Amino acid sequence: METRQDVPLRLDSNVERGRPVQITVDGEQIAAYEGESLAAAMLASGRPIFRHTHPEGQPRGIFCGMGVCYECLVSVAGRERVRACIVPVQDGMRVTTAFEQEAATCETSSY
Amino acid sequence: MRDVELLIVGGGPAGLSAALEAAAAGVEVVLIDEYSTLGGQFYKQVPGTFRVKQPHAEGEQYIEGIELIERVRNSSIEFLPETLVWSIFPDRILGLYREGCTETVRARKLILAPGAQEVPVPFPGWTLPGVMMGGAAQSLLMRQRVLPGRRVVLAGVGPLQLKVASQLVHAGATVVEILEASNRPLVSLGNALRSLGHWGKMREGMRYWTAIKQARVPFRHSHVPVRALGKEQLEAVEVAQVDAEWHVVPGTARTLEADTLCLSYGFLPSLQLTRNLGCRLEFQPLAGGWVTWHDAGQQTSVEGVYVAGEVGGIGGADVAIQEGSLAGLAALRALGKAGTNGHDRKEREVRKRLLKARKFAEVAGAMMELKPGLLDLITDDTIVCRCENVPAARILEAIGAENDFTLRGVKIQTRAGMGPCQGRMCGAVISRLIARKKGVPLDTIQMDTARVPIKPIPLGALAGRDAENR
Repeated sequence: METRQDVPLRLDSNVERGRPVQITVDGEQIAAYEGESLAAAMLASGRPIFRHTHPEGQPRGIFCGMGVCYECLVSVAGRERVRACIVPVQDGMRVTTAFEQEAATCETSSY
Repeated sequence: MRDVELLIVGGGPAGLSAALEAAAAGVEVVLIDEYSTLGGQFYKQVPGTFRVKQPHAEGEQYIEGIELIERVRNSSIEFLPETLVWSIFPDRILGLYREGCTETVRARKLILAPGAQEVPVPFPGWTLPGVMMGGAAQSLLMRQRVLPGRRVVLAGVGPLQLKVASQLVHAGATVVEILEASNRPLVSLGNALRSLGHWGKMREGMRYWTAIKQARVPFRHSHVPVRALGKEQLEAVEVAQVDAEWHVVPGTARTLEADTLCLSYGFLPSLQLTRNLGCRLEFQPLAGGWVTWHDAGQQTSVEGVYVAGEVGGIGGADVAIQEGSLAGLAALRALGKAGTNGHDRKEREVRKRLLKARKFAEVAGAMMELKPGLLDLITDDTIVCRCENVPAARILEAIGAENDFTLRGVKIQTRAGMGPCQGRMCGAVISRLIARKKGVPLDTIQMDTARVPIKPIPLGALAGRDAENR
């Protein structure tokens, strides 16, 4: 079965989104809409990988999509680790997906 | 500390209906939800910054949700969005976490309507990005208006898959195949709907079926995904045929290219709140396993605490709405707010509707029963506890070591269940593995002790950054 690879991931029928905003994910600018979930913004920009486990380095993405499984944890500057599937996008949000490595470093230094 | 007459946790069908019932009788109602919008996982509303241009194009369920939420907005009900319950203390005192701070509220009566989560089903590769619950895909589609992927395989059991498939097709995705684990459930469901007079549901089902057929999506009974393949994200799904007990039929494996695999194997009640409170549980094999026991008036074993909806057994939104009304009625009576007729006529009407809704729920529950073969998909290196990355081999080794067949024993030995999800993903799976290895029925395996915080919150918030001195 042929898949149309040109299908846009953001659907435009029957919806008006919030105002367009910019956020950064691992330093790269991505376009997003105010109020949409961080997970949706990341996925729509072609980023289905949200983190890697430490120390195994296994990739993880959206799983339950409702704030239960904690697989989509990312770091947002100025806040604690957040669930990308629940947290709404705000203009200028700075997101990093590589927090586990950093967290591990902190742990090592404090023990 | 703030006192409220009635606190309701959960803004889905059950919580909304309970809130409306009680508020109509003049009860002071505070409704809290983890999300910024009301409606929960059933009504799946778009974010507050979005606007649906033509709500009627979204279907009956969406409209029903909008109407309920609109009624709440036009009532005296106070809604606290993005609010998490991190603990429930004695005397119905709740520890809340919102806007980065903790605060406590004392409720004279408490209705818990936290809903359900989907059943996690481990198999090799199920942790790869691109493998997600059916509900996650639906939330992306309906709330966020984003496709979960372009090439999707659906797998699981029961009619929900048809809905997800037709939504995906409508949105322009390619649905590669729909895999239904059981053998011919749709006919029996259709018959049940007809005999129960659920014409609306029947029409809805036919609509999905037609959409799927028009898009030429293959629907395969007795098929399950046995392995998710890919390096950094899902690239293909290995699927196989299963027998009546869902054991894989050798020599039937095929590989389907896909970037997304949605799993819909039914629901488990969210019991963290009621367990934390020490409410009595009971085992209902066809309603999600362990559920919160309640009396005919929705009161739990803890006085003044009521439940409504999935937390008392998986029954679907129709059941949840009626139970919400009953819980609201019970709470308003207990608060001395019942009318001169004691709201008796209202209750009789609600009970009649509940009876009808429960009959359908029983049929659906029986149809969606998970069969033992599903556990055999778990290989030694399949991750069972996703948070702590614990493979099945370590869990199987821990089960029964020193004659300990408890979830707690497995947790202490392997760390399974100690991560941020607190066992929500692995607990039910490990219970099944324990029951199988010990050779006992599932209802003999107790859930692990519920601990605070009910969901992770920052230590700083607990350490004194509370709402009064923010």
